[in-house]
Amino acid sequence: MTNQLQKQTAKGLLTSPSVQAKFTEVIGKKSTQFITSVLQIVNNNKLLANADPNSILNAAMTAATLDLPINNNLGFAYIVPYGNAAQFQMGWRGFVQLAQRTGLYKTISVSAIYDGQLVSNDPLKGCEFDFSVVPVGKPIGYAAYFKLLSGYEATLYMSHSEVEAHGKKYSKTYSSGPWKDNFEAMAKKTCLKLLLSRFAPLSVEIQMAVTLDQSKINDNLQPEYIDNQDAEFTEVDKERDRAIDMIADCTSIDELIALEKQLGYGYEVEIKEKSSTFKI
Amino acid sequence: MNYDNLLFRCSSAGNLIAEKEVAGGLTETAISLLEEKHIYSQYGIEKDIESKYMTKGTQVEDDSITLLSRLDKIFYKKNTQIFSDDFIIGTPDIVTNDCIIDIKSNWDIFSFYKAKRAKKMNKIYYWQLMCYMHLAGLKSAKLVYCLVDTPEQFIEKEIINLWYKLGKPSSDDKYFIQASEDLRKKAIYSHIPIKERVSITTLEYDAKEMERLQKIILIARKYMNDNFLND
Repeated sequence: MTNQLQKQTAKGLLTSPSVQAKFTEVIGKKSTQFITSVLQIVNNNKLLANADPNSILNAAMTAATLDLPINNNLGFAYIVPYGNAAQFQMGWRGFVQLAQRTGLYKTISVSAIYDGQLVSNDPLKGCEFDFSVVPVGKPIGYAAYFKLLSGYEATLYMSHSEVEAHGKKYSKTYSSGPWKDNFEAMAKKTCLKLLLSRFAPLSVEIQMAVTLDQSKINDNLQPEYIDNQDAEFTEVDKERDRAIDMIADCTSIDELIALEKQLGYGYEVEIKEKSSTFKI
Repeated sequence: MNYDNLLFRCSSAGNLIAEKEVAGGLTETAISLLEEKHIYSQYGIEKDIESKYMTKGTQVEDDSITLLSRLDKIFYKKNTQIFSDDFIIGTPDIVTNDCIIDIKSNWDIFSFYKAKRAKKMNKIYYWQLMCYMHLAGLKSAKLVYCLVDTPEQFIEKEIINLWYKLGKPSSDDKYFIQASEDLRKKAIYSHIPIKERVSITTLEYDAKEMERLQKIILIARKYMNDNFLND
């Protein structure tokens, strides 16, 4: 009964006129097809059907904002269950798509690398591959590459064990989620995402995709919880840095007290430290 | 499907409306904007291509908010709420109890000085602020130009572009070294006092101006329905 009620609510929410209008505002005519495909995915996945409808809506809205269709066959972006919520997840093809749209890339690709194909791996000058070697057995690693129109190019190679270690370290769903079900796609995405975030010019959309990938998204399209998050993808907490700069700027105890009132909780240590520098 | 409920971004309002009334209500710039909106709605193709200036603006937005916070001694937080009504939609950078603040981060000190000396507010920014005030129900707004450091990642890319431009010189090429240093010098500003890196212009809400914009939006929607939906 509960399941049925939640399923209805997810459908009801996505087909409500106000939500449809929001989707139309973001993706125009494609909104009807977009909502239909989201509902199909929800209906075909018991865990998603039971997930919080708002998290489904927010994940779908994120995909719509990036103009990436939710279609498992295309592999641009996914909505996957995580606990009782839905998570937005980028596919490696989605990153390729967003990069292509910037108009800055001449080539962008990612590939599984098989035994004998990796000729050299120089962390400074890049890698050399020999793709004339016929793939045999399981991949030994994954490589992502891009070349900009300006001529700048970069490659990142990750061995199978490096990718595996990355997934185990940063994803709480490593043994049960997409890493288990589709290791190769996750490996390709990880490699490409790392390459882009380290070396590529990031458009607003790519930054958004990097930040929101594998996250439960709140109503303001901000990540509430991020799975598979590592330091390279994590935005520095600029708000905290701002507060700390402002504490350091204070030139009197009165100024510090006034600032403390604005900041609220979370800066007790820094404020105490600063106040000790003033003579009372 | 029609464009009766189409919303316009606050940042594009300035392209929609003319300084003075024109015959038919829509300028060439406005019609181009409507075409772009239709093309995006119909085919999903967007005209806007990111420029390094825009990307720096987005990437250093928080640094600019910090700069203003330190100058005003007010802990500003970035607004994430999307505001909209029946005509327009937008997300102001900062919303305080009594005013809207929109931050513009300049690419370099030269564009900062140029913006600072401008006698009249840029038309696009004027309408952006007017729309934000309207949506948030506030009567006052500030346009704040900030000069903050260009992120290292950008500087490196600029140096790489320079290296290609100079025909891939060797890393000890004196001219390349000097040009790289000059480039870096043009990207780092944190040594300049904060008050010399912030320029603030204020704007008051004008309800009549917003009425004029709303009328233009109705004309624009009709134009789109009449001209694009029978293609």
